[in-house]
Amino acid sequence: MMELSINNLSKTYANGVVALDDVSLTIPTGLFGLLGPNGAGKSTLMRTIATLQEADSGEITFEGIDVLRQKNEVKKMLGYLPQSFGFYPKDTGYNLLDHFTLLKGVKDKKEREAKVEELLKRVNLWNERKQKLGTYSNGMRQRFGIAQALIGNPKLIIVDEPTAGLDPEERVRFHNLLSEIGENVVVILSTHIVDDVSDLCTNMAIIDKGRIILKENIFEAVFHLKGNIWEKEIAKVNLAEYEEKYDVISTRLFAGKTFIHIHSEANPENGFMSIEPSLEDVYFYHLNQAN
Amino acid sequence: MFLSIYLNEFKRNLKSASFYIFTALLFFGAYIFASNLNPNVYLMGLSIGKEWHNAPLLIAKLTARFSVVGVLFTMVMVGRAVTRDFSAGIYDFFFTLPMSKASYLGGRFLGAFAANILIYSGIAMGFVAGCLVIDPKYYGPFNLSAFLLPAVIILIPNLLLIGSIFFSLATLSRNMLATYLAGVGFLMIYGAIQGGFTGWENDTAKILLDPFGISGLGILTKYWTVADINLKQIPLQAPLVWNRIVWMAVSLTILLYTWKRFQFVSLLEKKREKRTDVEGIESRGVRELGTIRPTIIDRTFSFHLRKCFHLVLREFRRIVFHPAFVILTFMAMGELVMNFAANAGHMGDNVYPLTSRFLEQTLHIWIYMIPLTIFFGGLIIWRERDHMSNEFYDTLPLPDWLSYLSKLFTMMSIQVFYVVLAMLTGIATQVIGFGYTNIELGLYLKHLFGITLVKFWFLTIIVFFIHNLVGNKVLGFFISGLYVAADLVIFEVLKAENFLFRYGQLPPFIYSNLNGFGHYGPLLIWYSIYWILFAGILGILTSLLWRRSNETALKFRFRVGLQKLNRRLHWALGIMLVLFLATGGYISYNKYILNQYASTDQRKGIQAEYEKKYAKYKNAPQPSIVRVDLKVDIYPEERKALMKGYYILKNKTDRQIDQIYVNLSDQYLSEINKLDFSPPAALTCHGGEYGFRIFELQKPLDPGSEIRLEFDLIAQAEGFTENNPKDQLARKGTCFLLTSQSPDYFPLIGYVRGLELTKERDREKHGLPKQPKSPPLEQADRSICELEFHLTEFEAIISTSGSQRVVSNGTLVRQWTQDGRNYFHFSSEAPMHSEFVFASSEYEVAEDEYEGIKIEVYHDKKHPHNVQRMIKGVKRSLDYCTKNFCPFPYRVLRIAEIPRYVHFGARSQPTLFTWREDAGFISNLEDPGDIDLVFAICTHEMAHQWWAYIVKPAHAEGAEMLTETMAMYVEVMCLEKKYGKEISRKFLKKEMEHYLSRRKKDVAGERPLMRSYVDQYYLNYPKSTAAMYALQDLIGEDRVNRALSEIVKEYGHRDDVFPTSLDVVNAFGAVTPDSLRYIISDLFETITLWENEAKSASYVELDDGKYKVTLEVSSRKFRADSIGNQTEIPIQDYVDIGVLGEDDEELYLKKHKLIQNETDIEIIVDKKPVRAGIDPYVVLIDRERDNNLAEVKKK
Repeated sequence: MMELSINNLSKTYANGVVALDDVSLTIPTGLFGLLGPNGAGKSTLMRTIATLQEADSGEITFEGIDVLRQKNEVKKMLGYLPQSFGFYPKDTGYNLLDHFTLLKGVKDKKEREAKVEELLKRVNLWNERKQKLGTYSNGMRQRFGIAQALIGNPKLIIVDEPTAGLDPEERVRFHNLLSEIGENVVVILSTHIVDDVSDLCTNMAIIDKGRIILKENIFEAVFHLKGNIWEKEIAKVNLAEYEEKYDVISTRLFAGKTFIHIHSEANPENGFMSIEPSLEDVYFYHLNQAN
Repeated sequence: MFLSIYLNEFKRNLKSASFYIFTALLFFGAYIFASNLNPNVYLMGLSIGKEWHNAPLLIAKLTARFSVVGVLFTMVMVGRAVTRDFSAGIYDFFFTLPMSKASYLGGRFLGAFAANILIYSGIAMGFVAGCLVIDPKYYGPFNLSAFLLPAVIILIPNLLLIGSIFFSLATLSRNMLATYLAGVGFLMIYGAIQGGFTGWENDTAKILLDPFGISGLGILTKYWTVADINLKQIPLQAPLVWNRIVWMAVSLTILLYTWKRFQFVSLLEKKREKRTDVEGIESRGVRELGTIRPTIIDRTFSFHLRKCFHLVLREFRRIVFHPAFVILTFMAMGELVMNFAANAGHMGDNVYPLTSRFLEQTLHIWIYMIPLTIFFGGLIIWRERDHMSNEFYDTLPLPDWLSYLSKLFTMMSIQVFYVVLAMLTGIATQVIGFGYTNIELGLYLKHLFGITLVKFWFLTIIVFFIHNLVGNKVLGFFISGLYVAADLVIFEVLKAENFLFRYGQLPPFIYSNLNGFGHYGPLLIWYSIYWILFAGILGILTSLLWRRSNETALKFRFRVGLQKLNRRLHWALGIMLVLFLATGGYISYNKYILNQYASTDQRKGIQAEYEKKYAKYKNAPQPSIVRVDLKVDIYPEERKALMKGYYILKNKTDRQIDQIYVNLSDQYLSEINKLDFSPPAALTCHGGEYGFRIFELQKPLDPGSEIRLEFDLIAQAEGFTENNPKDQLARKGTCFLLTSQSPDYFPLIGYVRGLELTKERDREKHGLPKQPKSPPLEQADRSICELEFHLTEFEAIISTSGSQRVVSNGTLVRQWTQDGRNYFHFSSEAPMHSEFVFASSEYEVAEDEYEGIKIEVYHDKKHPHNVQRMIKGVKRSLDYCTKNFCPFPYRVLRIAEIPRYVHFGARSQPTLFTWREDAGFISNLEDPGDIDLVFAICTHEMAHQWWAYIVKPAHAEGAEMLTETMAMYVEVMCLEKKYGKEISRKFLKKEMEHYLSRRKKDVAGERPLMRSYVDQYYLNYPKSTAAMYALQDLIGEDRVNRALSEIVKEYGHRDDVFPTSLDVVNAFGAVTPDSLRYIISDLFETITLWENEAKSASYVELDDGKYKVTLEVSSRKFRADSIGNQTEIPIQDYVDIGVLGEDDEELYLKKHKLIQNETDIEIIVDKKPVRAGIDPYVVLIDRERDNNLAEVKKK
């Protein structure tokens, strides 16, 4: 079993923004979801693990490597898909992937060709391999990005907000791809979309304002809230009243109607129905708690 | 709609960085130009002499030149106006708006065009700022129209033309690459036309065809005087105005065409249709988990190198196809070819396309390499960040040094590419352009790879260092630019010339075909090592701080850098630092200890010091050298010379002398073993860099008596230095002198006037009073000779190494070999003037003879081309001078080729003249239509044996009239006798144009020829030719020669009294009939210009088959003052009236006396007249030479 452990990691930007505040996490093998709203510090954490940023204090270790200092050792095991990225638009998908494959250390030409083919087929870009990257759609770019991250036997794969801006079909396809990534490596998926995590991960952490507010197995996290989440359809004008009275964790619209979820250990009566908690409830509950 | 598009475009430009960068570039260009006080520094082919730094013409000329460079700016600003809408993908938005093509295109074009014009305000600001930092005496009142008129007449039409071309190309093709390439093509065509122009005679066509109006500005103001330049606005004369109208019409046509062809459709849309649709929707659910097959990863060093190579290759390909790179490369190579092909030698003639001459031109591509390196260096460094793919690359398992080196090597290999291209360009030009096959490949490689490329690399390393450290692209460009600017300002403008502190620059060197890199070799090598070490340190630091993360804060980057600084790097840095300092120490040891290093400025200080301390001895009576007896041993391989011997000094004054002043450069000579008088004299004072010594005689030297000065000296060049490196002692081509100019090799007696600073600015700076100009003729002391010569007996035994020969003055009495060394015994058969040459090289000798006088040309075996011409020139001149003046007193005349370390081209000494290798030996005179300048210069230098040695001028203004004026006279007469009038007229034309175009640059103010100063070359040489030719044309060659032989008779071979120009003018007067005397005053006593013009000409055929030509001519005459203000004077002149027939056959040529400005003349000729006019061959000095002849029309 491999494990990435983060201990007391802190980072404050020059402009005073606290990006990471004493973050400690242990991330086991498999898909790990890092959930948090925009600006919570997810990307800072991802980049710090991916050697792209320095921390003020704390440490990260992986496979006996001091991630913050032995950057080159980390890079040898790393597959990274940045949050936002671009390519030289005139390269074709095949050429660029071949280029990365070479740079990641695959020397033999045949081996490289096989690898590029395997990866492009895996991410379903084989038919578009001769197309210029400038013409790729968002989803294709993300899939290309993951193909890139998979080169060179990575043991630590970091994907940062990979589904942002994808249409539902692209997302499904991308989820499929992520779920296929071997079980024997550490995969960190950072996202603000709850469904990404609930679809893919068993372990997760929630981060907000630079602090880890929850780290737990998803099943357990949901289990802990079992029986405590209640739902009711209300009139929109009454929302403030309900918020006053109950611990409202989320409000959402469905078919033009307003539904609220509240957290309550006892039955709140008043027309509330008990529901099976979802990861979304876990997420909003803990975010509310933290604030 | 139009207005909003216009404003949108205009604002878009104002917001772009390029707008400010271009404005700043133009500002700095104009600033540097206007603030530059050195008339020898050129910017875009322009320099400022005595005219105001803000003279309207200068502003106009600079604006015009910058508007050509503006092709690059315009290409970016105007060319992109529409294409940007496509590349930004917002074309749909515009194309769906309800508006007309005209308002869209017009708005885009005019918006960009307005911004494009606005950047040129940088020139006006630059001029103002440039003038403000210099002394107010250098500029005149500011005048708004001086800026506005060029803007309207020159700039706007130029930009309109360029703008419309590029706008049209880019808009219609929607392809910026094509546009950039067209830009290249455009500049190349322009260059080619300009190149072709040089051969043309038709000025009007030149003016009309130049789309930028530069030719017009140049040609129409060619003979403007300083007064004209300061006060006149640019000339709105017909050809220039027509030029503007024609090219504006061309621009408008192009714009109209663009409007017509433009369509509101996207080209991209068509492309998109072709593309197969992305993919079908994949609807499978979760698939089987498949593991990804592990791969073999190679982390060996050798594979790292391969990756590096791969990265270099990938980026290299992108850069060399980058439009800006293609443009700059084409421009640089085009300029190389043009400069090389234009191939003007120092004398204005053609020279053989030697490899070394091409390589000199390549120094110029440095100017292209600076922006290229800064721009592409930045591009390479920021490539991934610009494409936002940096996080992929930064997390790749590549070591930081590999990431750094791959980028560094990319830039370096681009520079290699550049240099190879330059080499191929050179070879192609030599072989294809000239059919010249002596390609010195080794020299190409040494120069281009050993010097040029290395300097490029140094620049790259520091640009990378800066870009990486700064961590911001724009700031990186800015600071890199600032670094280059600071380097130029500190070292070029402020003249801090210490190359130990000028990163990445190698000291200037002189390559000689005789001596190769010679003693400059070690200098270049050591400086290269020095900067390589420093660059290595910079490289390691860059690598340590190499940015592979998103972290910009230096705090973190230094922390990471320190983490990376392992033991090995520690050692490497330490060792390099030590070696760098050690190399610096070794260079300093050579510069400061083995050689007395003094910067140019310090040396001027030393000269000033000499004058301040010792000028008081200037007029003290001193004995003259009457005999020189020497034994000189030259060891060229060791760069050493031993000088032993004595002078006999004789008191030729009428007073007793009790002190003798001896100058002998202690600093320059390695050893002074002996410097004693006999009978002995006591050394009472000794000081200064030039070793000024006062010897107190035990017994005063009576008039007429003699004393002996014995010496034993060693001169040795040791180590290397960039400053004053004893070029005279060269391994091949040693040449040093016993001369009154400097006490470096031999002692000099008395205060040495030649050491005084002569430039006014230098004297002012060092607190010296203005140097008294040569005394006015009226106050001249005719017992002082202008040339510090004494008639001396000369005897010397000179030895050199076994492979070399010696050249010196006088008859070679004996020659022998002893102990493997060659010995030569020279002896003067009649006393000679005390300037003696000691030259040694591996000479070939060509010999001939003229009436018992031996003629010998000592030349390098690589340069035999023109030796026979030289001999012919010497013979012709000997013939002319002996027949017209007096016999030659010696029995030998030699020419010696010397390396190009000296400033002069050719220089006469008694019985010998030294001629620089590149100023005659490599001239290409194969075209019979060319003036044989080698022949001409030989006749000139030979004439100095009479006019400088047999007759010497008194120290006074106009002294050069007895030397250079006469030599020019002999030169032009010999040319005419040998090659006919066609060639001598061609020569005259060149000389007159030279004179007329140089007048305005004279800082001291023009003077009449008989009162010219020594440094007024444009008077002493070209004007002399024009004046003497006109004189002999009017009064006859015989009369002139009679007058001159009188001078020779009276003053030749004398050492007690010397003639002045007044004597010459009087002698001319004595032989000139009264009716023609006016010409002497016009040519020598005043500055006079004629304006002769043929107003009209017509003919009728007479009954007897002859033709009667009716000619209406005008002749006006002007006197000019020192800055060219003219006053008209009445005319009373004899001027040639001529009629030319078919093929310029001379049907009639006779002098007519003109007594009024407008004259009608009737002439009867035998054949059909074609052209007729006044002074048809332009013998009189005339600024408008093209209107002297008119077409003869049938009445």
